[in-house]
Amino acid sequence: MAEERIKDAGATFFDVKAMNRWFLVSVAVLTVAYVASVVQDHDREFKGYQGRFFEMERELAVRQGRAAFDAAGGEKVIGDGVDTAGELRDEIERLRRMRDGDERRRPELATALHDAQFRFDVKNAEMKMAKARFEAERFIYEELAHHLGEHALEAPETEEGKAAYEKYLDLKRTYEQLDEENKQAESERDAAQQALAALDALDGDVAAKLVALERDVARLEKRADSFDAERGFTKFRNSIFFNFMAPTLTPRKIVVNEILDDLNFLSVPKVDMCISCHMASDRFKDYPAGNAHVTFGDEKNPLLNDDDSGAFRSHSKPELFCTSLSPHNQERFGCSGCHGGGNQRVGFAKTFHTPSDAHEREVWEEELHWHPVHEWEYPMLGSRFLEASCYKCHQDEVHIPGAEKWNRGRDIVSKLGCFGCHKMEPFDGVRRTGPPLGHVTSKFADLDFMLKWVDEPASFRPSTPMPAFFHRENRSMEPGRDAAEITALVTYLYNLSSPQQLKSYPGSGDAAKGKVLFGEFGGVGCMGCHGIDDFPTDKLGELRHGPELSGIGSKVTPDWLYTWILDPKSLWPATNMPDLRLTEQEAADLVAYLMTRRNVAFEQKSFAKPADDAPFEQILLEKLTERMTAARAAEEIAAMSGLEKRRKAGEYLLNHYGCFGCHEVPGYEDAKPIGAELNGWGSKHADRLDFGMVEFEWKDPEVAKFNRESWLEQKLKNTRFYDRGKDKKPFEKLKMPQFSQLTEGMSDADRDAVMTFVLSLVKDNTAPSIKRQLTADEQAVERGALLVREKNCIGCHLLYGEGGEIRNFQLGDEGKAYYPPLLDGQGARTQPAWLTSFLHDPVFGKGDGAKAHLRPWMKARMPTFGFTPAELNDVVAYFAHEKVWHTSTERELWDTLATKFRKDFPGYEEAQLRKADHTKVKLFHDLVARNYERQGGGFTYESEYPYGARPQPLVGDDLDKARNLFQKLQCVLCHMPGGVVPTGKSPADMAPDLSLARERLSPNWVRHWLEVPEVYQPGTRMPPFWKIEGGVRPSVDPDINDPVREMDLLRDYLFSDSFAADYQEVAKKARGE
Amino acid sequence: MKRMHDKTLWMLALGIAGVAISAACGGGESRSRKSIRGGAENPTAANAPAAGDGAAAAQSGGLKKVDPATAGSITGVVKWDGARPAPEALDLSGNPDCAKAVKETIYKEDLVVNADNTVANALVSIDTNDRYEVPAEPAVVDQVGCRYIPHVFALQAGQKLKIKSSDPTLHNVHYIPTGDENTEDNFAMPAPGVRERTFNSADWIKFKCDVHPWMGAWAAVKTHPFFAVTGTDGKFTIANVPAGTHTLVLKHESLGEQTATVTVEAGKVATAEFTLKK
Repeated sequence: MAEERIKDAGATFFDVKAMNRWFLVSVAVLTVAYVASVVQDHDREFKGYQGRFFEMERELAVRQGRAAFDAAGGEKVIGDGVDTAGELRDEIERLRRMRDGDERRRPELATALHDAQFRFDVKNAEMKMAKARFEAERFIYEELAHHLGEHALEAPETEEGKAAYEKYLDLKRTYEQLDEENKQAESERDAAQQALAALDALDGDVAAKLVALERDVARLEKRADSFDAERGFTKFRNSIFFNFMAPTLTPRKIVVNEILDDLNFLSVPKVDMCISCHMASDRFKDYPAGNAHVTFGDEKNPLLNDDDSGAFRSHSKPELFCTSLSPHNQERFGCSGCHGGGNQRVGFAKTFHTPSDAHEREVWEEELHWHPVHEWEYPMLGSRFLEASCYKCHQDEVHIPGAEKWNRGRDIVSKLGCFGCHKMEPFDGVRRTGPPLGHVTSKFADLDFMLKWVDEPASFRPSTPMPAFFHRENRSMEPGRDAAEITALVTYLYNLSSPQQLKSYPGSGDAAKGKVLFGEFGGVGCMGCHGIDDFPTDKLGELRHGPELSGIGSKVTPDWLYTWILDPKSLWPATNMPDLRLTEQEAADLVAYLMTRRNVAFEQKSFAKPADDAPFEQILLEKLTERMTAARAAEEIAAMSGLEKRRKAGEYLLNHYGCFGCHEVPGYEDAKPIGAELNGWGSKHADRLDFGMVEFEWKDPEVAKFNRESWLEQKLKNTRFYDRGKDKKPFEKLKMPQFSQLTEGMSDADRDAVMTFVLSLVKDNTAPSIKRQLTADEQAVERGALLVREKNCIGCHLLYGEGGEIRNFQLGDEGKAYYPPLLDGQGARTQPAWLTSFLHDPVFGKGDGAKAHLRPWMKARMPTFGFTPAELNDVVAYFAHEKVWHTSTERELWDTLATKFRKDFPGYEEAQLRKADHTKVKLFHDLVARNYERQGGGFTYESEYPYGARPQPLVGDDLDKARNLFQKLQCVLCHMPGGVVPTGKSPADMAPDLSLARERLSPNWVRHWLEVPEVYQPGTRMPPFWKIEGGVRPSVDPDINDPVREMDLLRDYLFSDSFAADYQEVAKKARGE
Repeated sequence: MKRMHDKTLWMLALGIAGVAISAACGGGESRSRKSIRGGAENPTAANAPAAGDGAAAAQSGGLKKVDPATAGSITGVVKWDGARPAPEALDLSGNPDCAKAVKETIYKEDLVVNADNTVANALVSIDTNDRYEVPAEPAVVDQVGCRYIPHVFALQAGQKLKIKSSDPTLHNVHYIPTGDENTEDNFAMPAPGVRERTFNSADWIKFKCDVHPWMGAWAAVKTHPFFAVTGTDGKFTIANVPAGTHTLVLKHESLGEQTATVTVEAGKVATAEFTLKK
């Protein structure tokens, strides 16, 4: 009945049985799918890495544990705790047994102690009683003796006295004997007490020792256990279905709040999951340093196998990145902010690892199943361009310490003047690179020079930064087109030009003298910036600060050159060429010499100007028809004279090519640069770049070059490349000129550096809080650093290993004497006030032909740069405010930290730094300064002038001692006043005039210099008188006999009022007068 | 029915917990404890004997020794081709202290040709990088009468060098290695005294006094004892040379290098001759 009801109620329009079958089938399918998806999700790439990493961690802990175990004495002493007990455990056992097993021993000792205590108590009481009686009797006897009028207490004369004395003596003896016995009893009691204590403490001490020895071993055992994947619990929590609880194999992430990802209209903090695989990134002490891109295996770390990929390396620059002590620790800075790549995901290919070259790509494809992925516009930067990321946060620095490639790129871009056409932030407000073109008629020997120069600049001077606009591959239109354009341009420029007031060259120059002035031992300083074929080096032909002057006689007029050498700023107010204070005769000699340097091959070259007006008309027609009908244009052209046609065409072309980007052209002072702005170019999507016809080829996954790096590289190698296969009108064609320095076949390193710089100009996604913010002091330092580069101080002076190019021409032992001084730590050496006036006018008003007073023997002259007051401030601030060891006030603290840093991070030893790129030296100083400041260290410029210890006025005895010392050390043998050179010596054997010391030098520096001169100037001729020899600092003057006092006295003497007069006297005497 | 379900669920839960607990505790004795304290798996113990062997080898077989039974000697002369350059006297009048200290005239020493047309101060040595035993007695260079004496000398890497000053005036000793390994040094000797230094690598080192620019000396540092410096007769003798064919190298501070090949037989004297010219 009930069944029927059910049957009725279940009457349906479908077949229940079939439905059940389908239901079963779908449940089965879904179950399988579910299980499969769980299994697939369980089997993840990163787990392999983590598993292997934990295995290595366990191995590491085991090794360390084993080492601790062996250090504690190993199995012999502490035993393995299971089968063998070890000596210590045995000993504890033995002692315990002895204590517990021998039932009589402790009671016996306890009884002995009790008895000894009793005896002591009794003796002690007796002794005290005897003492009291003896003391009472003594008082009585003394009273009596006084009363009786005895003369001596020990020998009483009266009978009564004698009797009393006997009694007193008797009591005294008793007391003394009892006191002796009491002491004996006390020591016996102490001995018994110790015996019992020793028995009780027997095993306790040994047990404590065992615990101490075992502590490290046990800790490392625990650590090893925690990584043990074979432990049941670990296996369980990592097993499929149960790994939701607390698995050890799990994705790990760093949330970087201060660097954002731009997800179209939405900026989100970066979430870096890189450490899911790169688990050793911050562990440089245990894992080999090196970036993850390097090849597999490493013999240096016994933990790594051949199959282990680079994933297990720590960061290659731990002093800078990843570790908790690094300036860029990974908790705050993450990974992808610098490296790029896909964050928020895991997996080797999925995170957009980018191979650096074809070989790496091959290895990756084979071993790591890498394949190109295109879904993300910011794939990882290969190690080749990695330094591009530094600029994201270090935007206000001229050179970023440690970013050698970027710095080089910035220097090249600055020299080539790319910013003339392409606006880029680091060069906002920088003056144009090329010389002004407003007065070309006065400057050049003839019109032909300009034509041939524009035609092919490198044919006159291979090292020129002027790029080639013509004869490029996309310009093969009608023949003669290039010649016409050049003629039009030059004609236009000649017409814009106005004559300039020039001094006339007297014609009396001596070329031989001029040659000596120009280049012998680096000359008066010309060779600091310019090269010339008469004085060749292997660097001739490279782009230097000033143009190479090998063919200059074929270029300029003698009058122009004469005026230029005497006063460069009168011809080009913004020039960096300084005034060398040449006399008119010297300038004439130089001009005579330079006019002999001709480029004959260039002079003989001919330039074929178009024979008729047709090509100019064609240019005008093309341009005019952009905004009018062809008929109207033809009419306008017909109305022009031949010259007008050339001029008008030239005007259009000048605007087209943007010559005013690099040169000042009258009327174009405020013209906008013509190139694409490069700010943000590093974030530009590849889809927005014109790849021309290679797009299809490069998009192919097999080629995989469809990215901005490849585009840029090809563009620099051949600026007109992307016009291939395209039909364009002449004015539509690509017009970026070709820089010979970056052309295909030239230095890849330079091109990479420029690319790194351009790629660094990205859309800004970093929070201000994470950027390097400069203090006012640091900003002045950066402005100063820029000036040091622009004015090319480093052409002559060596600054932290950079520059000093003039030394290439100061050959031999004699040449060394003419080396301009090192500028490392200049701010610690000289007083800012003196440095300011020196930089303002190195000869302090002595005018043309004068040499700086300080080192009269020098051949090169310190030029007058004509700094503005603001510039002077910046340059002086740059030197004074540097955070380097020279300016540290707590030298010992600095040295300690520097030594520690060197120990922690290899590659910063002094010998290595001396050979290294200067930015590495700067980096070393910066990183040590960072620790130094944290430890409370200060810098000289923070303290009151004159920065640290003030020289003490010398009086009386001290003054005499100091005078004697100065004579004894024979300082004047080299430090002769007024540049006097004794017979038998050459000027080059002399040292600076000391009469300047008082106003010039920092007292602190003088004191340090006396102590360790060779540390300040490696190779200096100044002998260190107080050099530590065999652990002892010697004294040089027996009258003072205190090396520290001697150095202080000498320093104070140099700064004393009496020094100036004395100095002349001593010098006279030394000369035998 | 409902109860039944509950019961099953509980059983299942208990079962899972049981498995988990047994898995967690089932490991028993720790694997790490065994590998840290176990003798057999000791990773460092396996390496230890190898390191010990290496050290022993280095100690025993580091430096060579010459067996006098198989050694001969080399002797010869360094001649001058051409007219004898006149010695150039130094003017010390600018340095009263030196002028007083030096009684006789002293001459420039960068090229000294003896009266018999032989060359002094030429270093002759055998070209080898093998390291030989270092003599215990130190080499000596002295500063006397504002000159370095000897002007050219040689010593072995690792051998002590005594740098003396016998002058009562100030000298500074500034030596500049031409090689990369030894380090430059500069120290003052304001009064007579002795300093000791040791150079650890083969080198050609310039000594100078910055106070008295004419004062100079050259030190050759060799890894072996087979060297000699010519004197006032231009002759050199290198004793106790292992038998065999050697390359002989002559080095002169201003005239550069020359080489010659000699064959040394045990107990015999081999000869060699060099000729120098401008």
